[in-house]
Amino acid sequence: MPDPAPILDVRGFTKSYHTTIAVADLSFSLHPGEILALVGPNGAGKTTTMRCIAGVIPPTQGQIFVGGFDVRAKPVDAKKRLAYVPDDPHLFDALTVREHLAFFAGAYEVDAWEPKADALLDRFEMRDHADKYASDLSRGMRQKAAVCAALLHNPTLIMLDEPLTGLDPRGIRTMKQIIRERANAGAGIIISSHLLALVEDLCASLLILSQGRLVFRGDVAQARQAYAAQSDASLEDVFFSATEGPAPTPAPPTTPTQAGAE
Amino acid sequence: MLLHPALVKLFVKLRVARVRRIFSGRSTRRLVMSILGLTMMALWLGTVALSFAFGARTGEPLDASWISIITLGLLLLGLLGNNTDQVLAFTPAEVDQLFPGPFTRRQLLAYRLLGTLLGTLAGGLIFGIFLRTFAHTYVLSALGAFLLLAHVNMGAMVIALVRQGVAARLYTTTRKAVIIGLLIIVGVAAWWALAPQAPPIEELLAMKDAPAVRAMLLPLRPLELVFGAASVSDALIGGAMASILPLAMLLSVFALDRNCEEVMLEASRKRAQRLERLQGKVKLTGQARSRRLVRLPFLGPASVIVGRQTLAALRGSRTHLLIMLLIPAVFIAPSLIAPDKSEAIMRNVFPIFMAWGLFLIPTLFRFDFRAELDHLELLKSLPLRPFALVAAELFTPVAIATLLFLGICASLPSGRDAIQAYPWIAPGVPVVALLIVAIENLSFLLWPERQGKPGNDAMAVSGRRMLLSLARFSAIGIGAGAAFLVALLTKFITTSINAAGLGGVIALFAIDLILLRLIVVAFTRFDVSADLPE
Repeated sequence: MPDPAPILDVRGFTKSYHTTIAVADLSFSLHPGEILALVGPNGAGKTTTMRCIAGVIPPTQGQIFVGGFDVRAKPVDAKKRLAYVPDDPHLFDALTVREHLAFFAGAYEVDAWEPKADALLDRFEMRDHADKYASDLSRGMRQKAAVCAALLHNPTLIMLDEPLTGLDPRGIRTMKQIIRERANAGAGIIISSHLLALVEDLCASLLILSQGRLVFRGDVAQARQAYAAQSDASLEDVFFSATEGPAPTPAPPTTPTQAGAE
Repeated sequence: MLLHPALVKLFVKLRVARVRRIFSGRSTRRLVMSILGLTMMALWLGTVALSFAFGARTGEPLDASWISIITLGLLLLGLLGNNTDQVLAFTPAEVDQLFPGPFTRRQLLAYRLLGTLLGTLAGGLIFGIFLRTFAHTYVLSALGAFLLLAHVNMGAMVIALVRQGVAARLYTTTRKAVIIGLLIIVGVAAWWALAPQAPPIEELLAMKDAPAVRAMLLPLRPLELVFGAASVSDALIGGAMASILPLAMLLSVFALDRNCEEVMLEASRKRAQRLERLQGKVKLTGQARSRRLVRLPFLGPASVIVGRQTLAALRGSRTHLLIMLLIPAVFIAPSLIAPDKSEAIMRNVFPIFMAWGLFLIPTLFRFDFRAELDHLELLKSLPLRPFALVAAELFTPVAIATLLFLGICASLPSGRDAIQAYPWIAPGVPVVALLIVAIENLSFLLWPERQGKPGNDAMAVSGRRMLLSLARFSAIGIGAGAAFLVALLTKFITTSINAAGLGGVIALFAIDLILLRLIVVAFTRFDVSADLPE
């Protein structure tokens, strides 16, 4: 069966600042149901890549398509299909959590949003905090509120930058469950994280960036094959070998793995 | 060791970094503005310094006995303001990195005192320019100003430490007594100034030389010797005497250091909160009834931004809203109390206050991009058309200014007459408000800055602010001038004042639309990874 159309298609994406190249000539695609881990050392260009995909900053070169829409040419159509939760989401201090959800529902034109919002708040055990001001929330609660707001419009591309930061054990479990559920429902998910255990647990495919360049794109098994001597090597070994070690033996052509990392 | 070598090294490195930062802007636009700002400040300060400090003096210096009264006033102001502990405040980074470090509380105190000393020296050089009228030379006034500020800063430290550690109740009682005493003095002064049977004001001013007042000011009088010195030896003797009290207070600071860590941490927390408030962050706690956001169909989904900004205005700026309600009260009160007289006053004063307020309100109510620095990443990720988003962001301050002004006009007979006679005034108010708000926002998106950010490249920042204010006023002037020309032309063609007014409003609206388009470009091009100020 032919691959379904990609949810995300990045072609020759480059982002530079004056003489500094943050990301160079990056191309990859993401298919429905795929959970992709975006990993790399600090300063590798992960956040820049996600910000450009989200339309927050413009690419210097290249094209990015979300759901078939060019992020630069058709930003509104592209953005309606995606959700981006940054590393440290800034909420509006003077609004309550529920007002945040109302805000996002209005901006993304979500009809009958309240039952959906309540369901999300229940999942993250935030119902009791729904009328609290954002400035009164803990770091973990802010993260939960931002995720609830991001998922309200049922995006087909979800990008999460360090999604577990500040979450309690229950929150971590819920977050993982929701990521899997959304992927099974057909959403494409990109997770940027330094927690390689999370990556190993959730993600079937891997994109490794180092100094703004694509080092590897494929599934985890292929990464082991390319960068580790043993097939049961940890992802940590793969990561260090990929980002610090010698160049790998060429891997066979990669085909992104479909849904169901489980 | 009182001064830990690592802390001294940090102190020097931080100051060097501040200078370096001016010339290491991440964007060329910012760098150019910093250099221009620095140049502007240097030119301004240089001109003032040269004219005040070394310019030919006409007549004798002012009576130096005022210096001890000024010093006492500044000390009392510190006590009244309840902010004396701010001289002991650290930056959040210093709190996080230094307090858990291997430093004694005295070493931390000494590190903070180094900062105070440097600030006092710089303050002395600048304050000395303005106190030049009390001294024969600038050198004397700068030395005197340095010692004056040393009194004020050391006094503030002692008060903060006494308050926390030794006698909180004594502090409160003293503060109350000082407030009552000052109120009595202000009351007497007001009576003296206003009552017909009161003796001339010169007699009140002469009371500063009364023996009781002089005795009270005795500890501060050495400062007068510095300012009034006629020779180098006089200045040295005066300087030595005026140093005794600050040095004694410095020793007291170290003697009272038992609880200084708590004072420093509390002061740092208060400062961080104040900075957050200045940057538009509001610290609201507890529960609130979640409200539906206002929706304006003509703005489409972007109207949620209007709803959000309106809620922020209602919840986060109660002081501003109070001022907003007081302004019409000030206008309306005379017409209620003395209707006969108020009309005459209003005819003369009203237009001036309206023009002043029309500039003030949009700068006071920053419920637009100026409060969105930390939310720009989120705003840019929303699926909203940039023009609608920009229009929604600017809507709230324009609406507030419009409602306020039309409300004042409608509540005054002269205002009502004006609106009836000149129907272009009503649509003209939002158009003018939009012009001012748009220029403010465009300048913010091109050269964003965080309000009240402490210390860093202060001179360049101040200069940049002056430069931007000048640019904003010029832009407003150009816009208003162009509209005036169109109005003049219309008047010439039609001979109707109302047609001319309408022509001016339409021209101004066209300028507003161009500005909105420029803001759209500035917003779209704003790069959150490069353009956000630290």
